[in-house]
Amino acid sequence: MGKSENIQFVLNDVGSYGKFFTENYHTACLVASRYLHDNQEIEDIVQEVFVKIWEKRKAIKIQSNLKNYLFNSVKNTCINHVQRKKEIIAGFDQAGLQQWENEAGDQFISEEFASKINQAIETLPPQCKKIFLLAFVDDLSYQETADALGLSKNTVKTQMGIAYKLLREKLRDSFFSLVLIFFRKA
Amino acid sequence: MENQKKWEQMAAELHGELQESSGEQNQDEDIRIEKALERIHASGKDVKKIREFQPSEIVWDKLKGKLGRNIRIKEWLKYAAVAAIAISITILADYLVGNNTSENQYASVSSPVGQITNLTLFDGTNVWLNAGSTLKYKKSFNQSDREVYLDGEALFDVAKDKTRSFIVNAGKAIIKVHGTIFDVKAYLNMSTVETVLIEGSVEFIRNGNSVYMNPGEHLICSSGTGKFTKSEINTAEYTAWKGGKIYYSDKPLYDLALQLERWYEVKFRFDSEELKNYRFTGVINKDNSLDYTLDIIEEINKVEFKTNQEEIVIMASK
Repeated sequence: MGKSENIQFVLNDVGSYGKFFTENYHTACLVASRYLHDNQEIEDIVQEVFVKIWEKRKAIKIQSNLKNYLFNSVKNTCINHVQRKKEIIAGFDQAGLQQWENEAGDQFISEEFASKINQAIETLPPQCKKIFLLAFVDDLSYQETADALGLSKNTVKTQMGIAYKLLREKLRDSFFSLVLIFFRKA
Repeated sequence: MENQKKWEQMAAELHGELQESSGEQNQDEDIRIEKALERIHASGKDVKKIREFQPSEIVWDKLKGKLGRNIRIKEWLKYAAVAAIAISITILADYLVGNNTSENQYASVSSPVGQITNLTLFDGTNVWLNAGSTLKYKKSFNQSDREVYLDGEALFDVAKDKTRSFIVNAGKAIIKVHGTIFDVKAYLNMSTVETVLIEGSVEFIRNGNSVYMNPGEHLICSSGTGKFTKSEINTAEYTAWKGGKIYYSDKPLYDLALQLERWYEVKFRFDSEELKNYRFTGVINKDNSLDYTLDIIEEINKVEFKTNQEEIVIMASK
């Protein structure tokens, strides 16, 4: 975290690249979802980009860090894809797309943050995780969550507090970069 | 957990669950918790989206095959490329043929799992024995004949000898080598043994029937019936069909660079004109990454590759 990836190391062997893959796959998918609807298409494109980076790892010159290179490659591939298909997505017309790009710059911090939350959710205690997924991801009310799991509403309330607190602790490092992006936008 | 209650209360508020105020006032801490909650909560939609995708570990399991493919073969290609006249034999024999032998007349060399053994036979033939393979030969090897028995996988760089051929016994098949470049595939789970001869000459023997092959010929032998089918092929075409393997025998590096440009969508530039005529012998496999291929070439030729943004520069190494 914070440090830029050691590119040589990550691209040295399949195992390291696998770690890089599992850490960043969902972030890359999320970046792609800004441009494309279809989940299958998104996953195909993202995987294709991962394979290409691996294959061309000797020939490509990476300017900043590998993660940004990856996300930018995904973004560019998606844009090319969209333009080829002349498909207008997610309420963007071409101008909107342009504007969105400018706003987003080359930062993928919010996508990374979401991916980190998702990874952190997996580390929650089982009961806590179940509750959090329903109330947070599926956006059910506390009562609905309680009913769905056969628990009291009070248990849901307690567990939600625990879940948020645990996530905050897991995500301590990520919060720092988030502060930066909020600051930039202000 | 002294502030656990606060997290609970504020999370509930954020989720639209009406709550009474907790009473205690600690401005700084409250703001800190509130911000944290809001930031996590604001990512709800993104997290929901992420969870629509397949778990990354599962995707990776499927994908890594595409990257790591032919790792073992790559190892072999590396050695194949080392030899000026290399003979590549890939054999997975079900059983070592060693009938009518009294055990103590044979010497055997085994390569433990996870290790490749390199040995030089008395006639000067170099053998790389893959992990988990055994090579047996008579103690009288090189006195009258040059015959070995292989169980597993091995690569031979056969010393030239016009008077005695080099013989590899592999399962039911016998391969007689007369100084050549050729490729044999005899996988146990395949119903055939296939040979393509690139250069020189090879004698393929099965059940006492023997077939001589000429360069550019492709031979298929049915493991069951022992029937041969021989056809003339364009080796380049054949190798392309086989998955992008190309054999180079003393060809200019320039030809190779052209091929790599087409395969990997890269540009090469030769640091000097004479480099273009450097000779290259070896096997290039498209399934290998460019990186890997370049490493091999660097290893066996006196060249170095320097990568910059637009091109790969080929230079003479010191």
